[in-house]
Amino acid sequence: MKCIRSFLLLIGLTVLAACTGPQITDFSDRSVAYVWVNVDEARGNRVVGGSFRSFSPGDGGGIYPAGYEKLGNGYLIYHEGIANGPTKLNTVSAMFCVGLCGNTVNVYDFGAQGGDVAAAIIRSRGVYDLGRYAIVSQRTGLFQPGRFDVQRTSGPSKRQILEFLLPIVNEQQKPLIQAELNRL
Amino acid sequence: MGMFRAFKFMAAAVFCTAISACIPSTDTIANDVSRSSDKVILVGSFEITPKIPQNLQTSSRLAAPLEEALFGSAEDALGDRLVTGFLPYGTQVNKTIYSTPWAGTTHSVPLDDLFFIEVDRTTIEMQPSQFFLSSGGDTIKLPGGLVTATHPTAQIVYVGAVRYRRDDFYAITDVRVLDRFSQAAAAARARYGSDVTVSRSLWRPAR
Repeated sequence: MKCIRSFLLLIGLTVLAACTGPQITDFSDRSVAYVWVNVDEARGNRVVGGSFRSFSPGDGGGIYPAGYEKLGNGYLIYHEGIANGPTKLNTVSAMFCVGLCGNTVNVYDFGAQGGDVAAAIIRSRGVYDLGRYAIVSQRTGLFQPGRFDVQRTSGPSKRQILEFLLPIVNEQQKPLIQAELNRL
Repeated sequence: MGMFRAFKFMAAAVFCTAISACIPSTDTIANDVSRSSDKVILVGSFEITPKIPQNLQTSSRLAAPLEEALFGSAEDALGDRLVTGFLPYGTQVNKTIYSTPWAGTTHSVPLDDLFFIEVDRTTIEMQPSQFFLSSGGDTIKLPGGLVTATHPTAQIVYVGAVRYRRDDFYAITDVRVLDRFSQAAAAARARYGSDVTVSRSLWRPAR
């Protein structure tokens, strides 16, 4: 019985390992990118995930699962290991929670096309601010796919965000954030 | 028991046929010019510039071998191809949350290569197309809305090379229809015989 349990655990871990992307260990050519989103008018009041999309040919159109933290009346979505090339916010996932969370995850997908929202061309290693946005859900018919609008909004200052990120990011990226802070 | 098994096979066959009927055809070379006067072969091509890399990995799902046996691999179906629809002008395609990604599509067409697709001899509208970035269903959309008035008598109609130009974020910034009639006509005659009638009716925006 123990043997079967160990075997199942091994399979489970193997499957999980296969699901995760390669671990970034060398940040020497990697940038930090962040975007701040407000979800007050979106379906779901708590951000539970996010991702960035890289359009770099060498990156195979990579999707980067992002970090997310509550900051002010919104959420900071960030990644500390983005490769050079065009990059944009790919998804924001939100759930409705009052103490306990509901069973629906609303995924706001910014699509694979267009650089109008939360996008930048990362040309060299640095810190990239992709902006501050409010996600606003729109009403649709019963059997129609959900729609949402994105509006530019005000949010935390760049200094506030960088000071917030400084203790969180990988040691190799701290000098990058500090240098950016020094420039403000 | 035998009867039940036969019923099960029949149900599976009906299901597979129904599913495969919804999937765009990768067969984009008509075998021969039609003897019927109400059919015509459209000849044309598509290109996206600059090219976009794809990530069509073999699925690791349990049902993947069965799917591949039934429908072919993702690379066969989508590799360096775009999925589009050639439908009679005015056909309404309504998409709901239950629609498959294939709603309104008819063909998976190779990029940078001529297609020879048999259609009804009527005004044909090119539907919005999709280019698959990955086998997981990550796509970009390419605008449709172009029409061609098929010639009343020609067996083959050249519709032009549709060139989509894109920016760094895969947004389509320009759509042009290029006229490469002489090369296409030569290719059509090489394929279907020197006596086939080839006319030109380039895609143009629907009014």
